[in-house]
Amino acid sequence: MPEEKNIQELGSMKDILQGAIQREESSYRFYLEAKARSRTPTEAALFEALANEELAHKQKLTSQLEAILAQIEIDRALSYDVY
Amino acid sequence: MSETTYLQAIHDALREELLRDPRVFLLGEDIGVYGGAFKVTKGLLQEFGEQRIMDTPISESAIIGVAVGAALTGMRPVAEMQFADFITVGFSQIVTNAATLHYRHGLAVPLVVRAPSGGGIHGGPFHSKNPEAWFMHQPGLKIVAPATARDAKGLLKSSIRDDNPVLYFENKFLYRRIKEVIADEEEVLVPLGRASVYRPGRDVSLITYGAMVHAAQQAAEILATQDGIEAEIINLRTLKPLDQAALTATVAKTNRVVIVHEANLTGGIGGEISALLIEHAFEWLDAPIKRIASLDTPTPYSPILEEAFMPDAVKIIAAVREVMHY
Repeated sequence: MPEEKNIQELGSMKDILQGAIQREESSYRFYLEAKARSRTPTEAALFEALANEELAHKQKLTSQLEAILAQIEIDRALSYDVY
Repeated sequence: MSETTYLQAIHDALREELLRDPRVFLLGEDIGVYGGAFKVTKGLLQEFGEQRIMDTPISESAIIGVAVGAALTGMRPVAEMQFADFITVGFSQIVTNAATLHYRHGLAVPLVVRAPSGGGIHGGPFHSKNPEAWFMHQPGLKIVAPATARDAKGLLKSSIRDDNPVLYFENKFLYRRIKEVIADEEEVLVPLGRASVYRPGRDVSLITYGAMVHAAQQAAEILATQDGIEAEIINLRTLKPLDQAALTATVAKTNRVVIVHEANLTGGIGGEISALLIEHAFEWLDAPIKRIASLDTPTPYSPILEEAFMPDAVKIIAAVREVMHY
């Protein structure tokens, strides 16, 4: 897994979202591992639910990143049109 | 298997048709060296050369005029308007020449005009238009407006193979926001003139096209969860000719209709659809037809005003609740 960066090292909005997505992915794997080490069904169910929450966060952030990247391309086209 | 964006689907359709038929060529402003303002044609000049990917002067009338002439000699040109807004400058070439040559001289005009349209991108009044209704009034044209990546590809390939002038309104808001799996080896062809049921439902029909299919989907999901209302979404795909059988069938099923389009309300395609349903499906209607569209002003520059100007899921939900409680 790539090393996570501190917030100070992240520059653009794109970098920040990519960093956040990486953190959600990391948390997702953490809870999956915790589930694998669970000793009771209750523990396993809890960690699975937490893993799914992290996955949903990752999907939401990914979708937001894609929308931002799409708009960046539109903005580039609009600027080109002006100049 | 990777997903194909709406934009990539358009690129792939162009490339496949360029490979398939040597009569196909592209022309437009900066579509070659620059790869197009939105990069739809990126790489095609390098692959097919300047005889088939032509950068043109900034003159939409010349671009479409040249394309009409080439079509008359047996070529199959695809002309790009950098933004659909600029199609006004080539208007006469489309409605006076391209649309009438079959009726005047029995000549086929196998021409496609690609027009990146639509708002929600903070482009203001000169880069956000949805001018499809202007052309609905002109006999001799076909008009398509894809909402999905698969339709974007399949409709463009069918448009290029059609012997009539086709206006292809691609929604630039969807370019990189919509994607789906399309296998490389799959030949995707979507017939012109056929709508699709994007979401089946029993209670109300949302008749729409382009980017508004996705707003309708958002609305339908909320209506199902909060109100128990199952909306059927009809994705028109082709605006001219309209798929009258599909329109009648959905009204016969749900008995209630909300028409949604991003273009301005007055004189929009919603009025034509509404008239068709009154003429051909009146007996099935249990409530007045509602139209949700952009306000009757040019697209505002201000993002806040643009949001208020355009249709969205909230406005669609309100209209559905109104027809359901009629």
